[in-house]
Amino acid sequence: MQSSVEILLQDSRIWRGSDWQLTARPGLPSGFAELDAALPGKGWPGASVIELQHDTHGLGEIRLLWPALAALTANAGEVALIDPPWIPYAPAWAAAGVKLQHLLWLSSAGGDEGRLWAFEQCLRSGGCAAALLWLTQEPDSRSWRRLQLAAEAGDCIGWVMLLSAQVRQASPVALRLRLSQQSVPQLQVLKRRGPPLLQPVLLPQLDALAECLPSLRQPAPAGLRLHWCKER
Amino acid sequence: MLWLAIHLPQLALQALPLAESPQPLAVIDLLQGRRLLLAVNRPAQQAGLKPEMNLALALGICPALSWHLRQPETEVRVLQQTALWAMAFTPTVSIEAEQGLLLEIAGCLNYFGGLPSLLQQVEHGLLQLGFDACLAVAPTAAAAMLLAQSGHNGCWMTQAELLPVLDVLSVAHLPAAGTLQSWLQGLGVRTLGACRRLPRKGLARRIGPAFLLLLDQLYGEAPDPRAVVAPPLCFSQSLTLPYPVTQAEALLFAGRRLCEAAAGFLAGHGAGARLLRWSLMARDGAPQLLDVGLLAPSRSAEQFIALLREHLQHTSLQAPIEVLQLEICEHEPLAGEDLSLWQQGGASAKGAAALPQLLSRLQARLGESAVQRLNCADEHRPELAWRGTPVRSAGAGEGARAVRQLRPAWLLATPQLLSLVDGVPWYQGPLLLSASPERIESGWWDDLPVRRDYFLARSRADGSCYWVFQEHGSGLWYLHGVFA
Repeated sequence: MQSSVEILLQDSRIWRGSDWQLTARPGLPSGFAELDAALPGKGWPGASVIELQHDTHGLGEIRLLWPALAALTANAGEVALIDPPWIPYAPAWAAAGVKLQHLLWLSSAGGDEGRLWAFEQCLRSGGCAAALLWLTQEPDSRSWRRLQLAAEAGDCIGWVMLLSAQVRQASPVALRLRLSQQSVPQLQVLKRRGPPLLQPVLLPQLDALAECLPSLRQPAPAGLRLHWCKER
Repeated sequence: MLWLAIHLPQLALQALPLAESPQPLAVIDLLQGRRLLLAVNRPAQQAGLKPEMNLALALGICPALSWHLRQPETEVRVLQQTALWAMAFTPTVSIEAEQGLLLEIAGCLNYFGGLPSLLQQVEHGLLQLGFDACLAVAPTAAAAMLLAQSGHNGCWMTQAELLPVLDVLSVAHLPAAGTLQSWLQGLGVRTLGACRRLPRKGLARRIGPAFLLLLDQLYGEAPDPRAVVAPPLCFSQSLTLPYPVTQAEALLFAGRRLCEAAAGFLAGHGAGARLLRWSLMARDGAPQLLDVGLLAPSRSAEQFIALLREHLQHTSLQAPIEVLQLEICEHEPLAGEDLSLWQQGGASAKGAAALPQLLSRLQARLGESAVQRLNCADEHRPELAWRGTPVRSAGAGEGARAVRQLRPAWLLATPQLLSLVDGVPWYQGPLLLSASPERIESGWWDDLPVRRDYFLARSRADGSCYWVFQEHGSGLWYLHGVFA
């Protein structure tokens, strides 16, 4: 015999706060269980623009995306890299499982204006599964909205990579993340569709050199010899 | 058989690309020494001008009127271009009289999703081309054309529906000479139905069998063969601009007409274009050539226009342009889109077509070398272990064997020299180095010999990870990669 509350709860018109991860469309698994648990839809939300801030280059911001990009390209989805800061080093991307025949590298897009244009074309066309954009300045809120609409039109995931120092104001996108390094790399969910997340998500896997060069702010495990370059 | 007749009443005016002008504008014709208005644009209509008005009277009503003499060759050429455009809908297109096209559409109704949808697409296309048109659909070609010419927009699908309309149609609309009409009206015969009720033999004796044949063809009682427009083997069409153009935007408007014609031409051939060659011709000097390449064969006028726009944005016009020409140099067979049995099937096909279109657009704006695929190469030297190849070339993305060592996501195009502070390499702070370097020593046989010790490095300032090397011999330290 069900209580009246249980009967009431089965009504589909009732939305419960604890169901915030049940989105209409499941997200793309990020490859990190801790992160999936913090994202609505249990993964990267599809057909949307995501703001990913990182404090500096080399914190694992690409390692964070590699599992998702590998999954997309394995499914014959195109991934476009729009004016990354340096050359995407093919052997590393291939070793991470990204299918190079589905990876597009756009260099010299000609200033932020050209980059935004190229990014929007990739998002909107429907020919790309994902696009990554690097900018020297954060876009204004009108551009953000344009990009979001383009991503919805083309059913494409767009990651906008920004250095934290470039960000002056909060963008209107639905998912904003910030990658920083304390003792381990950690991802702060600045904004998501769901209850705010106060604790950062710790992602020690993002540290490429964790095995050979332990992070600075934790004591080195015994038996591991730290090597300083020879004084000369 | 089902015929769609397209009548372009304003062709004399709209064949000139300046019909959109906000100034009152008229095209005049010389008839027995009198200068009569043949067609007027909308501002002129609002000023009270009508076709068949005397030019002197028209200038009296509207002194600001600018007028052009009719250009019959231009009209014929534009009508031919429009016929090519119409081949996008059906292979059976014929040019009728001076201002009309006839399309046989019974076979293509299903493909375009039924008659209303087809008509909508035809109307939209004509609007894009800048034409006012009158469309009529009827089971006989002559009837469809006559109805369109007499301003009857509509569809009469069967003989039974057609009969009552034809019977009450005035003989004044017949294309025959004026004397015949006045003769008929003198008899008190005002409609086609009344004509048909006259005794055939007597009618044939008095006005000749040609009229009877026309009447029979209208009612579908005599065969009515039509000469079908044969698409030329190679597309080359030009458009003379009404005035020298210095702005790219104005070229786009004229270019659209050529693009639509080219798309129809390609559809008529079942082909797709690989290379469009635009020639921008000034009064003197060599024509400015604009080659627009396509990654995958296409016959979409929208795509042609979008690519032309991208190219024009990066082209400065050397001189005012007077003639715009489009040539299709390379085309190859391109099958039409099959209709899916289940209507949803279109999405994936659209996705497959979207990528070549996207790449063409990106290359048009950013340059061909800016859009690349990445490859691995069998090579120890890091700067040679990858290759970027333009998207167009085949075989991209073929992988070499994977390396087992850790490699950074980013590689600097040229290694960046690091300074030493207290004997420690410094990049935005002192670097902490891994214990055992990886030695890469290769290329002694060519011009780029490399002898380096590669270290994994971590910045003591912010914990970020780098790939640095020390060069043998010089002992200098360089930054070569970033573990992002």
